[in-house]
Amino acid sequence: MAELAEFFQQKIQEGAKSFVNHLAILLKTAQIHEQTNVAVEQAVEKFLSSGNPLIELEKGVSIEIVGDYIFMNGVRLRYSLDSLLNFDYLVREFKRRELGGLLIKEPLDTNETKKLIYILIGTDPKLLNPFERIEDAILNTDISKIRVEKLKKVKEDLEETLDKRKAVKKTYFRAVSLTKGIMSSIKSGEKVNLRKAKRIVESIVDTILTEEISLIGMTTMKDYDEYTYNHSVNVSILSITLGQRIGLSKKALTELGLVSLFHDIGKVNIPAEILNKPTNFNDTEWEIIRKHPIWGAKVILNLRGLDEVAIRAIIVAYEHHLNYDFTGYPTLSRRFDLDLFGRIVTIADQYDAMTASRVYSRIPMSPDKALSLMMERSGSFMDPLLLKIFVNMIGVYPSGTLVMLDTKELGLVFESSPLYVDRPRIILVTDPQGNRVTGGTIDLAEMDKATGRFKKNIIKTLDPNQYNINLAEYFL
Amino acid sequence: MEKGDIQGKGHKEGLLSEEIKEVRDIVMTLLKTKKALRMYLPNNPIYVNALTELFWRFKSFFKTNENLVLRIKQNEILYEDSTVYSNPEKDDNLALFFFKDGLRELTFKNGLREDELLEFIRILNLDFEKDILDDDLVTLLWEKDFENISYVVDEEFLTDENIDVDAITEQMKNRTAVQGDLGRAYEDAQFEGVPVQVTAGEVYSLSDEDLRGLKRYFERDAGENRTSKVIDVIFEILSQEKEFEGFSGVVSSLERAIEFFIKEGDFRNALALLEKINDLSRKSDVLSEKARGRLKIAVVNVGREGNIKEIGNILDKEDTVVDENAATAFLKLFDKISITPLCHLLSELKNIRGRRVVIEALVALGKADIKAISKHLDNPRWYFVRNIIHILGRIGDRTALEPLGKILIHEDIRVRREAVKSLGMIGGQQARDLLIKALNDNDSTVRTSSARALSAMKDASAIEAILLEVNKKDFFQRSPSEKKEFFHILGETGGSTVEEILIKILRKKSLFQKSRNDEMRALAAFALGIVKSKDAIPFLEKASESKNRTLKLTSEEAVRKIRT
Repeated sequence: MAELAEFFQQKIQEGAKSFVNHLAILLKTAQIHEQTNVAVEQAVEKFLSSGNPLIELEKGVSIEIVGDYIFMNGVRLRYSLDSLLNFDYLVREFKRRELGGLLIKEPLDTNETKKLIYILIGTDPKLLNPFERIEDAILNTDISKIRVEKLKKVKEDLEETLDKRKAVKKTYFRAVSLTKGIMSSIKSGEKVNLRKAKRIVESIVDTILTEEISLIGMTTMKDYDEYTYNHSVNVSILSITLGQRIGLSKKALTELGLVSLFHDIGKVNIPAEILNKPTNFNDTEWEIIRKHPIWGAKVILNLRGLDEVAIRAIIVAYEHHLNYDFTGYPTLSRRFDLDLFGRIVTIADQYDAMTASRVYSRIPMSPDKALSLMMERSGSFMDPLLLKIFVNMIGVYPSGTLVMLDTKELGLVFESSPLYVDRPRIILVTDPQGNRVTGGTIDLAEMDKATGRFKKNIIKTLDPNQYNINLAEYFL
Repeated sequence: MEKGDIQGKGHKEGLLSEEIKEVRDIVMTLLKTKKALRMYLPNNPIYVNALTELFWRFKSFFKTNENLVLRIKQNEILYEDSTVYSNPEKDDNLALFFFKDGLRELTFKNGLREDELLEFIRILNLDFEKDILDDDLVTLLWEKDFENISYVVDEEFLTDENIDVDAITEQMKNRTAVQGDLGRAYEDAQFEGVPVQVTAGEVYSLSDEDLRGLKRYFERDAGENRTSKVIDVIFEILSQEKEFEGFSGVVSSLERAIEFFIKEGDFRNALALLEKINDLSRKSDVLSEKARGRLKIAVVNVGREGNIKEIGNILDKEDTVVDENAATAFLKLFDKISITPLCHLLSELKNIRGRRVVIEALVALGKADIKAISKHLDNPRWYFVRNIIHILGRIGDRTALEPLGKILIHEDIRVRREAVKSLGMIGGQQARDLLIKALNDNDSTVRTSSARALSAMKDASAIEAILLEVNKKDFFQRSPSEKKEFFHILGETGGSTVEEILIKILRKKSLFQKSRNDEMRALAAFALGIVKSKDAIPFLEKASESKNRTLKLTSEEAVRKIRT
């Protein structure tokens, strides 16, 4: 009985995914072709043959956009890599038109479907109130089986927001504390409690799934006193986020989070006076630093033997400085395929290290500069495809970037926008006259309704490190 | 207060107490189901019935409620502030079981499916005390991501220090003593800074080709043999170790890695690792003598008693799938020092699979130290002694003949029988003499085994000994099956001497004890049929006319055989 119920649940999920997939394909096709084109006819037919049985079975279907996810009849649709592009496209097109959802009460016919689709694509998202335009257009037709819903802005009251931010901070600080504990246990030869580490990583994964931007924001706070621990946590957060972007399962994300947390574990063998040296390393010191991937592999091997997690952790610890083109360290007697998690961690590690400035250079790079340097190294030091996704994830202007707006105000990038990679949310730090201000945040994706243009634009980026700006002062 | 209110309140309280009773029953049934699964197989009716009852109770509760929220305390489980479970003991305490991993609230939602409940019970029954299990209860619930079971956890215990978010925040905010120089930044921005050129994020959006690329990444990742890769990595590290101490440290890690594989029953990877160690230990052009010596010690260490015991545990587990070939090949790589503990293991093993693996390994290892094997021949357990004899026979070393000769007087027939088989396998004059001796054993099966072993030697004096046995006066008295077996062996052995003697027996006439003589003639005819002796045809044809039915039929059959 249970198996049968599960079977039906699975079938419904599959049907729902296929329905959404075909809706996206239909929208795409309609954007290129006229209503009478055979490609449109075929796309409509596929959409109806996948959707109508579901509408009939479920006695109506609602498709809702919540955050970056699609829900059908209240259930979040989990999609595979094959459908990623179509799902993303649908979310983007709906959001651009402020469309939050469709409620289809009864099975549709070809005529109604075409009308709806051409109303949707015919509504210019740049115009004022696109949702109201869609709603009006539908009312003016004979479409009675479909209702549209406006996109709900995820509004939270201040207390709720503060609670969430506090929870995010707690997750972050707890992870740092645990990493510190693990490293100190290893140094003193004590047993490491992996169950606790797993639990912490799970809470990071959960936070990323709900509060991704806030947690990434935490990685911009560089605490030099606790650098190694913060760096490990940051790399774990950035790796999990990248893993989530490429569609890894929750279990795989935990594994990725765990192995990335241990990627620099070999540094426990580096003398503190070298690790915390305030000036540049000499050749001998570099030689020692370069041993940490090998030491890391050995530490994990001694710690865990060769179970599934340890195997991956050893590989990642060993490979994370090898570089995509094997020009890094340690030197190999023969090449082997680099591990997927290893390539992810390499990117996260380089980004965090560049912006934190402990190993690569004594002067930290501004986040945008680090990102552009990484783009230069795409295909040589780093996997180009994963790096592309990473840049998308961080945004063109990563958190912590100091920017000047066309209004002459200075601001710090606070959160990237899920819709526009180049239009983040900003914390204003000066007014147009250069006077210090506190507390104001603006969303650069916000448009002026009267002109249909963006209200404010970034015109320049600056390096916040040159001006001793303590990001914690603004972000925490 | 109005009377109606009191009545209403009373009614409400009545409903609530009814509900609490229902929840209490659910918790008790949950406990019963958990225990049933611990004791019985999942298809056992006791467990199946308990699970059905639990599911039915949940369903009944959800007829009037949307959720069942249980609050977890150290020794109590509460529903709506009422205790529905309480246990002050440490053992078998369901509340404590949840509480110790930080679980503080457990919610079952209307819509709970049987498969979810089944999986939930399965998780509850895992042995979380085992070190080998990396996941706690919460991790497993988290990974399962149940649609209709949710929970609230307290994570304070995960870190040793208390995380005071506000204090840390304040500390971080105040860390930079110098306030940011915003004025200078503002001034600089007028003239310096990087002008913005990015137009849109479209540059970075993923193409279909990118997605295909990602799909290939996943496919490669799923198909990758990471264990083999990590072994390569470790040997890469080993090859780059310049200091002996470091080298030795990595080798120790490898020893531990093999121990881990043994515990997991993963003999394939244990073999791969030990093979690599063995290969490297022979490379004098790559490694110093000292380093090679260390690797040889590693081989010795891997084959020490503790590991061998562990191997025995795995091999004896009926429900564990073991790659027998890999396990055998792995044990074969051990040092000869492992022979004694392997012999001890062989004497303990209950499973035929395990014995097969160890015997094969001892056959390979034993060549280097026969005494280490043969010293176990005086073990009181007959079945173990029989295995040792089998191993000695397979090894085929003649130094084992002396102890094997002594065992020919062992009280157990099965042991003596195995001994003659092994003597046959070893061969040689000494073995032949011992086998001839065994032809006089008081057990017929030992005698026939011995005859068979002698015939396999294809040695004239060995055949002669069998013929001598057949021609003995008292041979008549032996059992029909033994007699037949002896003649069968003679037939198989063939050769002119045998043929001649068999014809002689076939033609033999006797006035006395005619039936016994005819029986011997029939046996000779039977053997001649196996020899396919054409010279014997006229005599067989004549014998076919005999009134003795057995002789007649056997002779006819022999002729038929020879002619086909």
